[in-house]
Amino acid sequence: MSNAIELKNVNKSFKTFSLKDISFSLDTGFIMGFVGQNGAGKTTTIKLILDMLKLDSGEIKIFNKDHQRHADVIKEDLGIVMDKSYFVDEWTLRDVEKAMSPFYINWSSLKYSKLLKDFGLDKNKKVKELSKGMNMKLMIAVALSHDAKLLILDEPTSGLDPVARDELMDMLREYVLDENRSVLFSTHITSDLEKIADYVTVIQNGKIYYTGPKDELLEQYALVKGGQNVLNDSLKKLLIGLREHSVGFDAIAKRDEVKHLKNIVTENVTLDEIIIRIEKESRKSEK
Amino acid sequence: MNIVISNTVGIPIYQQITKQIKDSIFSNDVKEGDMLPSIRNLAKDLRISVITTTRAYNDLEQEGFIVSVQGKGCYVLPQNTELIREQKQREIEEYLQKAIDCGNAIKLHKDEMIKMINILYEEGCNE
Amino acid sequence: MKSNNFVKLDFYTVKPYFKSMMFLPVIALIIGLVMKNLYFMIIMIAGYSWMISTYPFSIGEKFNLDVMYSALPGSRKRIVNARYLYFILLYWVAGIMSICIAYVVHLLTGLEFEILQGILIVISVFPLASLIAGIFYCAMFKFGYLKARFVNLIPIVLIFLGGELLSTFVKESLMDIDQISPAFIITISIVVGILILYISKIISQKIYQKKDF
Repeated sequence: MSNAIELKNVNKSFKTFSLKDISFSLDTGFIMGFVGQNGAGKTTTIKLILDMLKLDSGEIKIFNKDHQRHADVIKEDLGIVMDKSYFVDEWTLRDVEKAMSPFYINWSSLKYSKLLKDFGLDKNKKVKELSKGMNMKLMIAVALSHDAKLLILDEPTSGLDPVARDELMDMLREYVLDENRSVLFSTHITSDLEKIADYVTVIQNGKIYYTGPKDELLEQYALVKGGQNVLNDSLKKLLIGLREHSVGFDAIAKRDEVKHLKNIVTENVTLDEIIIRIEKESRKSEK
Repeated sequence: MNIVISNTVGIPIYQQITKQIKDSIFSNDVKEGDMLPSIRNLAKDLRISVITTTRAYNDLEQEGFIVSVQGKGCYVLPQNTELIREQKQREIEEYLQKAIDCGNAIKLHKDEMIKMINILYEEGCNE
Repeated sequence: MKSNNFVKLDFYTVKPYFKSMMFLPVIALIIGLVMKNLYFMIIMIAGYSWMISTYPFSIGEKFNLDVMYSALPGSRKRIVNARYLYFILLYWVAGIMSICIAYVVHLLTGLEFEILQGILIVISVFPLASLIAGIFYCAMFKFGYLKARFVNLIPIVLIFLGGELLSTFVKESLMDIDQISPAFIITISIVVGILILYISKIISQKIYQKKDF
């Protein structure tokens, strides 16, 4: 199984924040969601993958090639979607094609025209006249027009209404019907991921908390609720992100560790809950 | 073939899928040689992970219900009706045992149980 | 050459603003007429070409084009290389255009203008323009347009203040040293200009290669 993306022991330090020992990989043909709260390091990691930031140490491979040495070849097959447009405002959609197409061997004008039509985008419109959702579709259209094999999206749905978000999720699923294509998409809107991600990587405070199949993560943990009387020291050790209140407590925990316990209620956990609780837990340990 | 999955029922999704596909096969909704939706198309339609559909199809293949042909798709295999009959009979025995246990709890007599079964069959025929 | 695409991209980036920039040569023309010095007009246009050559930096920063550049196949070295080629193209196109305009004006108004002198001025100012571009391109690659932009105004100010002096000086010194063949002046100017740009390019490439966006 070849990897679309592979990160090994990636480190990058800034004055107030650092990414430590980031390792994960995305198998070709799958969608990976990259989640974590704002400031956890998602955009930094993506910028490192795109070589917009230089690694302090570690290795990044895309399509099994070093991301710096073979950048030219890699970028032929790479599509990028960001939370805001990266084209000149004053360009028309025609100009966008004229600017982008010379760089790509596989550019298809036919595809671009068809995609714009399918997305309801008028070639004569200027980039600045597009709404957020339309801008996102434009970036996708550009990526698909040169037959990108890997789509990297950084917070593509922030600021979009639920309808537009749903449309994007459908587009991504459609995109990976071809198993030679892969998607990495970072977001803090985890409900989108729960619909379509195959794999998920959770990053928290510059470190990887979990990387692997999304379903496994959700099965591993459970939301635990109970009364104050149940809360003892041995239970507390198992709980993550404990919240105590006047009539009881809630937290998440590994299902295996708490399934034998009586007097507690366990429920399915969501990605959101996991992110919230691990952040809560880390803040506790900082105190 | 219809597949409807539920996120709230306690059963893992891949199991729901395998069960529903098996039921479709048993009820002849899909016949021997029919092609099933591809793993990826199914994931897209049901809005679930490709890993889940892959697992469901792998299980079905292992149990001999389907076969996946490289480059073409997944096809329903001819079913061994003897085997199915045996499986179903085992299921019936389980259900019957449950009914008998219930009956015992209220001290229902075997003859009354058989009467109930007869009535149910008659009602079933009249439908 | 592989940098071509990036050069085209620089022009495409600037293209939407061309129309609003059309008034610049017009102003240069008016001032040239007012001062009755068509050679000054040529230098003004050279100054404007310098201004336009900074647009990919300013526009790039305004619209977050760094992401677009990072997405495109092509090394950072090539992007830098293209930017210098873009400057050279701009300068010479502006030079030729200004000579043509000056000649037409000369025909229409009779103001003094000799094509050869015009050409010599454009060529001999090239090393100076290259020096300014060289220094400020390095600054812009290093610090970004916003921080380096104040330096963008210096050539404009210089030209306004000293442009007339410069054009007269260049014209007269060219006439003084006309034992030295024009061919020599042309060669030296072009070689020095290219050399300055080349050195600047190497430095800029080193800067840009390491840059974090």
